Amino acid sequence: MKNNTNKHFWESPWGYNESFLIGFSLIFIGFMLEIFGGKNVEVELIYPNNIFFGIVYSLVLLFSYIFFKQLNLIKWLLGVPAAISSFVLIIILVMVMGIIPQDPNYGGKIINNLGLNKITTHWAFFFIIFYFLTALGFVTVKRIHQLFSKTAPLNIRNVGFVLNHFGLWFVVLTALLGANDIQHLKIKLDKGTPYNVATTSKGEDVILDFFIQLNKFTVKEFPSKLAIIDNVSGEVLHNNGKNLFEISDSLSYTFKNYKIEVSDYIENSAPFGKKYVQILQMGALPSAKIRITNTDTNVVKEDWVCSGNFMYQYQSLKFSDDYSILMTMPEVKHFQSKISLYSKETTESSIDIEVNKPYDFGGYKIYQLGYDEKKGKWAEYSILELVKDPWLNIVYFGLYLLIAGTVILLLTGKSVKQ
Amino acid sequence: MIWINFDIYFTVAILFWAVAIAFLWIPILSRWIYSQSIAILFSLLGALVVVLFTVLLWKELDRPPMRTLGETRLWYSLFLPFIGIVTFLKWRYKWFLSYAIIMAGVFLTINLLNPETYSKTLMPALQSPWFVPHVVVYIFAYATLAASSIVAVKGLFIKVRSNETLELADNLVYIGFSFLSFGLIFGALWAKEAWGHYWTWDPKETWAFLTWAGYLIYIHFRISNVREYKKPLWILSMAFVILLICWFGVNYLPTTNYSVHTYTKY
Ligand code: HEM
Repeated sequence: MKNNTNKHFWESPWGYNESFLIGFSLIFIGFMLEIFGGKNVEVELIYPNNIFFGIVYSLVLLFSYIFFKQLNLIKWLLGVPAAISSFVLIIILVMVMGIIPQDPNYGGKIINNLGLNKITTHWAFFFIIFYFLTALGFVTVKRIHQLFSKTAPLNIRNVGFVLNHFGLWFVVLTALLGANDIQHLKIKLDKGTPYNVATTSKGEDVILDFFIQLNKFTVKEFPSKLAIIDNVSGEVLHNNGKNLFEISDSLSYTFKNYKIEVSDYIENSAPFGKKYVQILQMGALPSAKIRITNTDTNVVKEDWVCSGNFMYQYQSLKFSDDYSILMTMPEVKHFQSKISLYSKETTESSIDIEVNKPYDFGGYKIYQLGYDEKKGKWAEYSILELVKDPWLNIVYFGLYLLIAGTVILLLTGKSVKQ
Repeated sequence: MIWINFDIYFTVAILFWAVAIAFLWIPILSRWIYSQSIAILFSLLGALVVVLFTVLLWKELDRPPMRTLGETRLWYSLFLPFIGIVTFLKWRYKWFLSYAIIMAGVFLTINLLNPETYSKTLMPALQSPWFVPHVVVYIFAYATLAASSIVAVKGLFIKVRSNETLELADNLVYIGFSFLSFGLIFGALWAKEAWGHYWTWDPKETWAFLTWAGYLIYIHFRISNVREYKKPLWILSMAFVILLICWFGVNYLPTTNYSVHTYTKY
């Protein structure tokens, strides 16, 4: 370690011991504030204060480097020990986040009092991020300053260094500053009615300056599958990995000494007496007539199976003492809302919104969020999410720098040591 | 319905790799001047069999085979031999090439023993042009970093300090880390399209971030503590443990139910 025995604690240059001492003190203070400080004092940094704060913070970094770079404090923040200790401490806190669900209702007294289920808004996290950002900011300023004062050569490696360090610094800073300006709204749409009231995650209503109307909602499903289950354990059996077969008219396969065939398959059906018939009304579901032949005894069993849904019971077929066959619930392939948007200025109709295909309108990005899942393909309402993130392009600018820096890092690899 | 018979591809690939290993290590064979070229050739043939299987599986399933753990193991076994071969061409470490193909073999064996359903279904969130680049980049990163971890373990067990060990570890980490960064960034860009936010501290995201930070420690530690030997190798091993948690450990943590990466409820 850098802290060899000849150096006393706090003697310059500060190394790992000092860095971790400072870092853990920050965490300690954070926890003290969390436990004894008044609860629910959430400082929300919103526009325009966040911009103001960001500019002041950046200028402070810049000028304190220029004027005070001889101070132990700044020399220390410029060093690798400070950087590494900040990574380690972030890892510790984020690991808590990765293990303990971040849900205010999770956990007992200890977890709640220590605030372990709300790390992202924890004082300790805030301090450590601040420590991390400040160290990162100084390293970046230093290298840029060196490039300008020609004490470091303007080569690809240094450009890469600046892109990576500045890019990351910029992304983290702007993402944090902008976080409270992001608006996430939900809106539930019944078919045919225009709506303009959405709700925030806290349940407050927000009136939009445009209307959204759901014209049509479609759910497409993958075909159901046939699964053989063990009657005793209830488990789905593996037939060398070929255990689940997507159902179709012509499906036929063998399982042990059984030949399994689909003799009839109706995509939209309903039970009618002992059999299933095709219907196209609310609640129709896939069903199939399965024929199972025991190839040892030539005994044949034939009957209907169906997966069941919110209207109809499922039906399985027990074909021996050990095994039954059943149809799985169909999985969803696509769900799509066809909507119209009306604002004072414009009307846009027949817009398709689905997962991974949001739509921009009135300063919002509109996402397909959910629907009446109980009813599956017969769902009658759709839930959309409206997101406004004024900082997005600013954060993305940093991400692009980071991508460029990463390309350079990949191409140049590790520098040869002087 | 035609099922692809994995057992055949498995057997052929393993045989090819066994030949490669034989030419690397069995004295009579390995003394031959062409032994290394033959080893490379057979490693490559085995890898191509895996590539072929992957392509056929992709076609059969009608979706990128990247959805299940078993499918990611398949990609691991596809990338590892190539990483091994390229590294071998550059540094000629027999143990490294052997490790790469043995690991690939282990992953294929796990898949053979745990047959998964070859299901065609692909949930809506994964139906995106980002899906393939995101997963491929990640698995390539994981494979490279897995290779670096074995360098670390070897370095820790062998008492004598060798600068080559650190050099090889550095090279693998720089490549692996770069791909990890791409994976993270692509994931963020995709999440924005799919879920409306580029970062939500979802458990999977959280562990991906931790993995990334772990390797960041290694990189920076190496920069300033050039003389250290065991410590960076320990850091590398620890980072790999985090990586493993991220890859499949997440499923066993209390946070897993909160993951949107399972994508079920709204
Ligand atoms: C995208 C993430 C990062 C990457 C890819 C990265 C990469 C690198 C590389 C390759 C170097 C050595 C290059 C050289 O000296 O020319 C380096 C040095 C350094 N990095 Fe980073 N780094 C990252 C994040 C950070 C962060 C977050 C911090 C601080 C909190 C940091 C602090 C440092 C420091 C102090 C040095 C030594 C600089 C010097 O001695 O002048 N890095 N980094």
